[in-house]
Amino acid sequence: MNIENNIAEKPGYQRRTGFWIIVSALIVFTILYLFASLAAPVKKIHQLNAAFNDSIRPDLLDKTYPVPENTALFELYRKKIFLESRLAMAKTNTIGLVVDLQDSILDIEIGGIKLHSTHISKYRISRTFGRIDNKAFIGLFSKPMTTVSNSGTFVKEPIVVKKAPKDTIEAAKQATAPDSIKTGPAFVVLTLDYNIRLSLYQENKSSVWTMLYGFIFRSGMRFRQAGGTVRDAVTLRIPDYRTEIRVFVPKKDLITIYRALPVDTRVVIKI
Amino acid sequence: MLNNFFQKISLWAGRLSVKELKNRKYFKYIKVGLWVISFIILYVYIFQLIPDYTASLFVPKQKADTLSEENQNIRRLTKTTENSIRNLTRKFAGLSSNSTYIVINTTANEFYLYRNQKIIRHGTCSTGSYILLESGDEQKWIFKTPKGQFRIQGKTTSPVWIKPDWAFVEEGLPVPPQNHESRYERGVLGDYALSLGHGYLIHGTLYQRFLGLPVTHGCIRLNDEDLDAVYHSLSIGSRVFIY
Repeated sequence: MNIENNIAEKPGYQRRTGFWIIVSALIVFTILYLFASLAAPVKKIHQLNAAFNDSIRPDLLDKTYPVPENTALFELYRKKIFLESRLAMAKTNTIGLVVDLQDSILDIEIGGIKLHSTHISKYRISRTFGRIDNKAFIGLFSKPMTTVSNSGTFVKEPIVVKKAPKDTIEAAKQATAPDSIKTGPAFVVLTLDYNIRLSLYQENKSSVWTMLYGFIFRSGMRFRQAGGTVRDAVTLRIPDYRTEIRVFVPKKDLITIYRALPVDTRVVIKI
Repeated sequence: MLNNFFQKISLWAGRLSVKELKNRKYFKYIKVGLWVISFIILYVYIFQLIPDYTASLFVPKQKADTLSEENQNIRRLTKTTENSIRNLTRKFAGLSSNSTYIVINTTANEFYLYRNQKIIRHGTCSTGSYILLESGDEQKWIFKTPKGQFRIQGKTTSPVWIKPDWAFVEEGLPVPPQNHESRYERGVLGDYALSLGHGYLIHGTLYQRFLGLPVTHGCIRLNDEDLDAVYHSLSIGSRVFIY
């Protein structure tokens, strides 16, 4: 009894116990978090592989694109599905976005007519795209993708609210010379089908402020993603991994292109 | 070891001696703060970068087909696919017509006039100002140029502007009856006007110094020379692309 009491009263004993409980909980949480993070892209690859079977008329795709495992044939199929996607988008008669990573071109088109084109200075794509089956690749990119949501660091429509003047004197006071629209650093994120994220970033032309702004913008997205992973890790679920295609284009063109896109933009991608 | 590391950082940051630091109350909080920052960097940045690189370890790459090019089936399929690609390219090229059309960039306030898929003229214009006018009786008008594909529906020389209600509301004037003579204004739309439908026009302007800026109520304004060229190049039914 005396020995037990002595142990319990020993200074720092309770603090040490608490410390080790916290450390153990952190270790368990870290293992769960790490497992969830690593399992997510694997789950995503399997989900994308199923895209072929989810596509409209998979039997027709199978017939139209036989033996996609053959490397030379697959390269031809990639060109073919790109043209077919663009033709399908042209039929919708709305402004659509075309991302051609092979030729490094980003443009907007309507009815097959190119409206505005810009050069992609650099791009990055998730490695998960390199791991999906050729068949799945065809199923995924053989038709235009739809934008599920979009966000940017500048307004799409710079609306200014003006109250109608009561008389001509008030109207004369309101009259001002217009100013050109100025925006801060430009970053846009479009979320497409299958939770594929298309990020359009302005080129970082040696401006520290732009780089910092970009870092803060990306950090915001990482925090949100981490929050989702924590929630799923704690509830023992595998989070939905966001495969990303990130392209860098001139700021002026990025603003022009983003402002031209309708709400449910169709996107055609050539990887 | 970690404690020493944190002490060194705190020393560098605060230039205090170790003894002074340990005596200060906030040393504990600095330590906790540094731990929190380390965890944030670990969970938010490092753990999120790793999966993309390690996914390839867990999912094997699909085996490429090693059939020889000599295989007749593959050669036949290759030829068929190449023909399909040629047909699709031709089909796509057919969408880009050889007729004359105009493309208007509302962000940069520029226009491009095309003939046979080549630019024959380009210049500045003015498009919608994105002003939302709110009147006292809860009526609202938004002055923006619509985006998409349109066709020229009418061409007019010496057009007369028939002022809509917002033109009076904006000036603080009372709105007159529909056929009142104050609704008709001559000379403000330039020498020509091309109608796109729903009240939107391509026309001239008295305010040439504002060309290149978003100042209109939705219409597209050009200077006199450009307007002349566009009017004589486009016909009724010609396409107008606005983005």
